[in-house]
Amino acid sequence: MRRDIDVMAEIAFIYPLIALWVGACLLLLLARPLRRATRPGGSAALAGAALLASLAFLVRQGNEGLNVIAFGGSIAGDPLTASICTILLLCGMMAVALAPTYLAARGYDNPEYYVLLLTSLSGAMLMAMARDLVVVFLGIELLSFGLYIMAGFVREDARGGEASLKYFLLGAFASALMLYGIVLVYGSSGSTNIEALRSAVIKESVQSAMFAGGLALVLIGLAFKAAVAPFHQWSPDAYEGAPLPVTAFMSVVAKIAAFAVLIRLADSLAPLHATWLPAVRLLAILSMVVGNVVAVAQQNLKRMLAYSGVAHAGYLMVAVAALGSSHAKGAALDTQTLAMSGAVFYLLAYAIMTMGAFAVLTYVTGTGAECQTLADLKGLARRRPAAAYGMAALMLSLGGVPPTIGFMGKLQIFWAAVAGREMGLAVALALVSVVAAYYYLRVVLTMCFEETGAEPATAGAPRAAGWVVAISATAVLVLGVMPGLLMGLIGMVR
Amino acid sequence: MSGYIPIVVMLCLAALLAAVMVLGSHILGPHKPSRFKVAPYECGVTPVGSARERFPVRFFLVAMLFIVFDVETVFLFPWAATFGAGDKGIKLFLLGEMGVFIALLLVAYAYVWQAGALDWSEGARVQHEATPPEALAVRTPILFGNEGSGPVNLPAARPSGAANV
Repeated sequence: MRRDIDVMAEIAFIYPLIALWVGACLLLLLARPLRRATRPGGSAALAGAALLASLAFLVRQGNEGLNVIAFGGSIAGDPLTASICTILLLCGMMAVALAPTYLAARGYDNPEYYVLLLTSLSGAMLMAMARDLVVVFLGIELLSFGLYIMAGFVREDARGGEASLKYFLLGAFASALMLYGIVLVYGSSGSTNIEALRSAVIKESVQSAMFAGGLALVLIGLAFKAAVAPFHQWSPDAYEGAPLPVTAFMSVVAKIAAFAVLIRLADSLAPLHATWLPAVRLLAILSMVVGNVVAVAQQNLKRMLAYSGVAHAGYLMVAVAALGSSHAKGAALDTQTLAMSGAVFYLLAYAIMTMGAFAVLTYVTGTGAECQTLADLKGLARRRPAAAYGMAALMLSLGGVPPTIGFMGKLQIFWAAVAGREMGLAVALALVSVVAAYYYLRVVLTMCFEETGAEPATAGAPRAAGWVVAISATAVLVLGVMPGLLMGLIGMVR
Repeated sequence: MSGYIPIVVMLCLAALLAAVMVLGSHILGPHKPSRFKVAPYECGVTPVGSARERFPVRFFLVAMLFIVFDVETVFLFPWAATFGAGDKGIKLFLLGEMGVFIALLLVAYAYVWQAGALDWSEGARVQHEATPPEALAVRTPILFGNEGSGPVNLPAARPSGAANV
């Protein structure tokens, strides 16, 4: 055992996680008084405080947190970890803001919901910190268990139960595949530590077929969590059945965490690109085509956003491919930097856009029946102009129209693909974006030019969800014009 | 690996012996089935009704809680076995680690308690109120045609609700 380990410094590195866990424990201990409180929102406030504390710890670490190696090298900090964790915490705050009114209207504003949300989020952050496949697996499970239960949280809703069970069964299967992959990787290389795998790959001391098989299974497991086609089958049903705030949370957080691991693996195992690059290219093409084409046929907005999520996962896979490809062609280091910072930028963009879109749906839902079909949005520009304008900005951004963050993100990925000589993927990215514009703009058209007889609504909209809409729509526009504001966060990724 | 060969041989022999005994009695033994013989064996008592009874969902809850806390206890044993090694600083650290672990278990326990999952009496009453009338109907026992012929006294038919408590 090494004697120079500074235990307290290592524990200090996971203070952001500990803050979330302490928050979860407090919510559990105070469950009874919180549930009996006359004023709702107490649980959400406590969860928000835990998230803020976590963010404060993360910020306080600052540059010291960027080169920590803790717990025997199983978790570590670097700029990628720090930026992903920040994005995840921001998503968590938005998800907490969406929940209280929606759940209270259905009689389910229970502290347990926020406990699950906090533990799920800590699992996602653990995945971003992980430098060991076993810790990655631990993070995935911690993330997924909460999501499975949250999807069926409104128990009277049969669709929620269906979503929960489907997600659970398929997710458990994917986890088992991934665990088997980790076993094969361990069997062929003698380690599950990503750094050790990297040096084993460079020294060419691994049994290649078994190692490749293991990597393939790990890739499938992560592709499932990130809803990359053809492993996306669960996502439309799970998104549609789950309560709106849960859909918002799981569509964003699971994808970001899975891509954090994918980016790290692609970066670390770049010397082995000949093995995994064809598979990643195939997943990228499939995901972009399937996501965008099937989304056109959707009348339900939750399903549409699910397929849109599949498409966005495809764009992110292009960045992952560019990361390996830049190594393949011996390109300069800045090509890899371009691919990595592009991917992280796009993850942030995706998080803001998708969270914002679901926030609009939650806002319009208010305390009534869930707003989830295209028809529910008819005449929204007249009924709730502010929400409609926000939704329009978010939809344009999702479609990649300038001057929005979605355009800047897509541009960076396109740029990285060209620099990495992934011309085929770059062309495919540009082509499917045309298809994507159709179904996002259709939402805007429905809101502005189709009328129902409904009167303009005056009250009943949740204020917190309104704030989320306002912030995300503003961020989408401001960061689209001035993406440089983010470079302090993203530019240091490598 | 060669050290394991005797174990493999013994496993094979055991499987072979079991197969010979089961198959042998199946092939060689006389087959004269009667209704009484093929009835399910319930500790020597004549079976009454189906084994697929309704019973309180509380059993599942308690079983699940037991599994959770029981499996957690398993982690204590390797910890206790390795605690002796190492110097004072490491020991203090290990003690702290296990303290955190136990504290987390206590939080879960407190939560389960306040949620009423351990409150058996209240749950049992709720279960009784919820039992539908058809489940409480008197069941007719399965008859084998040999009732009263032997020393076996048929138990009086009873409402299934009584068996639940």
